[in-house]
Amino acid sequence: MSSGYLDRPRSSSLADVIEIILDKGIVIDAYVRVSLVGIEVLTIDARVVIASVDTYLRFAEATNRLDLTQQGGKDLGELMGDMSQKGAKGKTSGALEGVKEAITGGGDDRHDRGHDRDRDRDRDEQPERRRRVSSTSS
Amino acid sequence: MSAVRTGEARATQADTYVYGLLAARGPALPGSLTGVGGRDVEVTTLDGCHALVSEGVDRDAFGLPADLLAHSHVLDEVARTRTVVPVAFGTFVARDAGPGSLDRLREAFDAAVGRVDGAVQLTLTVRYREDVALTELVHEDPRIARLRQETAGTPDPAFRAAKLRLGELVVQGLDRKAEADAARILDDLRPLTRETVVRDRRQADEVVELAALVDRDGAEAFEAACDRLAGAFGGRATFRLLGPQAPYDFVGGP
Repeated sequence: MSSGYLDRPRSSSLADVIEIILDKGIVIDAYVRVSLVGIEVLTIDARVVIASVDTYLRFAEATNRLDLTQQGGKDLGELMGDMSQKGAKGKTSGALEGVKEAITGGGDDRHDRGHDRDRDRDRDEQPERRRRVSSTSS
Repeated sequence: MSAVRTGEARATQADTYVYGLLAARGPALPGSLTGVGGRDVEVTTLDGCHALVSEGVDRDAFGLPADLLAHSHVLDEVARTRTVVPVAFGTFVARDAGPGSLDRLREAFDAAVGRVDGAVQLTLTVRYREDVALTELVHEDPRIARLRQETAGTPDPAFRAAKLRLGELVVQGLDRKAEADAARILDDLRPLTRETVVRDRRQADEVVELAALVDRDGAEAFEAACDRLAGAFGGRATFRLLGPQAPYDFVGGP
């Protein structure tokens, strides 16, 4: 029986697909590869730095805004109701919203994204996103 | 958006687009599959290897978001019933590929297929419900509770340092929570998988994002386990599960 808490989209969104498949798959040396300059650049742009002034201020303000009295009174049913309206959709796609908008808007020039200056600066000091692979059957 | 060719000059405008490589035998393709550029999808033999392709794709017109969606849709649908090794998005058969390409295609397939044969990928993303996680932190960490009260409702620049400190403590608190909760999720799910790839966290409210390589007939059990976990987390986090998909994270690359 379903818990009702698992978001189970039938198909992948563009943001999902960019995240999951864009730099994956085997590369065949002898074949021609068409590369999408815009998408690849914007994927790099989507890397958000956690330890940054922007992030700290955002979370400080979110913490200031909390209504603790209301939170305390919420039961799981109410939380779930909120989540289906807001959390499940808004939160899960948040990270890639910028990419999605930029791509569907056809923009492939990162210099249009001036509001990302702070992030660019911080990001220079950050390592690229790495994946950790583990195996259960060694 | 412009597409840039990175290969040699092409012979014609209409080319063969390659989605993935297949074992020689397997179930028939699902009916009514629509590929990139609205083209049909078929199995053909390329350099002695079975490949999932669309013929007559205009390379100059290729590269729209719709092509990316079609590429993944074709691979995911085929992967439901048949082992497929995904080829990198945007790969066309080079008409002028010289001798030796035959060996390389077979080699690439042989090297990749053993790992993913009979398996599909499921991708799970778990994020905190921000207000719930932050409320937990206010109750758990007296420093956060104090700074929250001190800086509440003031845009005064004099409080900027305190706000930064508050935000830093909150982000560190989320990191700690995510570490513990991700471990719990992985402990539960890993026994149901052949392999997992955990992506680095990129957002403070992200708990974990993982790709799991699961036996095709074990996909339902994996989904049920995700569902149980989501229920156990209650309203604390959103669980989002995609798949079954082609095993993108388990071929090529690192």
